[in-house]
Amino acid sequence: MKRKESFRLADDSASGSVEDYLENKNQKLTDGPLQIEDDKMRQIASWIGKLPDIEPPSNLVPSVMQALQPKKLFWWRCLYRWANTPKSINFTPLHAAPVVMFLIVAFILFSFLISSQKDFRYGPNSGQHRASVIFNLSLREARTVSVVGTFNSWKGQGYEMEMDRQLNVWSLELSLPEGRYEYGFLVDGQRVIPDPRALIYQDDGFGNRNSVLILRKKNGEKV
Amino acid sequence: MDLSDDQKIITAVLAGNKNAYSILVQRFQRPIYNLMYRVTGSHEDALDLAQETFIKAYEKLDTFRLGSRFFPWLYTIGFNHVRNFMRRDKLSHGVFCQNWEEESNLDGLSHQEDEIHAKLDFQRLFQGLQKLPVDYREALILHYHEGLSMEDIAVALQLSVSGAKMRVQRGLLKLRQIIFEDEDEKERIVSTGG
Repeated sequence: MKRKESFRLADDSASGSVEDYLENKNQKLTDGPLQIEDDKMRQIASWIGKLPDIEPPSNLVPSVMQALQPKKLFWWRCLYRWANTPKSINFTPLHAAPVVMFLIVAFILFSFLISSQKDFRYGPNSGQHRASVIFNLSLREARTVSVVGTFNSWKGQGYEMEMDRQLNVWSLELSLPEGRYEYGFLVDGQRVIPDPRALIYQDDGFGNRNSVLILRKKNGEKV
Repeated sequence: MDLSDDQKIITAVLAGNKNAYSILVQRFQRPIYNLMYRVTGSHEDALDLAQETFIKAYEKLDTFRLGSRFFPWLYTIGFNHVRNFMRRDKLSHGVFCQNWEEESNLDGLSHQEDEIHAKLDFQRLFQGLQKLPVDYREALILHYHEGLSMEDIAVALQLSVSGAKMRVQRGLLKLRQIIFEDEDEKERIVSTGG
């Protein structure tokens, strides 16, 4: 004999409409697996599963096939479909070995190319012809001096000059790509002064002057 | 239904092998025809609509996304098509197959006791399904009869997955209420001593 169960609201105290019941169950329905509440619902689900189908008429398939024309896709549509179709790739470690070797060699070559370019830190012009530039400044009273300019975004870190005790000159040699640069000397980390030996100066727009350095291949290796 | 097999057939059809499509028609003619018959209650209309659905699907086949399941996609085309048909001809979904019990070969069952019970159960189910709104009915049939997952039902009925789950659950509750309304009422009266 089938077990009798009554349909009850969420508070399990009184029967109610489907809508009332679902108001309380909405959250539960959207999360987690489907809830089958009782034997009667299971029974209905089972009946639906066994619902007999009506046999389609035998002329359905032939009548459909008769009405069809062969497909003719444009080549770009075929290409799109091919590109948009998931592909599975099967490989064995032995098959993958040449690919891995190729990637390793490519990586080594790339690393070598990168490291062979000196002073890569100079950025976008690093592929061009470079020249060695020696900056000198005679300023005995300074405690620290750095070269700052458009080639290092006016940041002195890493561009500190060294004091040559014999000549009493602050000095730094840099390798710079061809180009036009504005620069100055950052003294004691506080003030920027122009190079007194520069040939060209330019106003910086704030009432100060920057030194200008123009590097071209014909200018020679030493500036 | 083998997903990869469907994909291979579709690829062949798109490559120009029209005859390969007949495999898909044979494979899915039963659920599509039954969908049409459930909604229209007419063999003639069901045949026409099923044919048109397969022809439409063939014409749109290059828009089918390979890697997804074919049946939910086909079902969407069929369901939209039959809905438009009903709307266009201003027919009511309520006509749903008053002859379904006879059509579905229930009389073929032998008159053993269990089978008589089964027949009575199916009669209750048919009557209940007839009263259920078509959206709920189709969600229930797709899930419990065609065995589609919630994800596939969501595609077929153009819902979110949680919406599909909600549709199935609500349909089941409504159907339960329709089928067992009298029993529940009697139990309530007994339990309250009324």
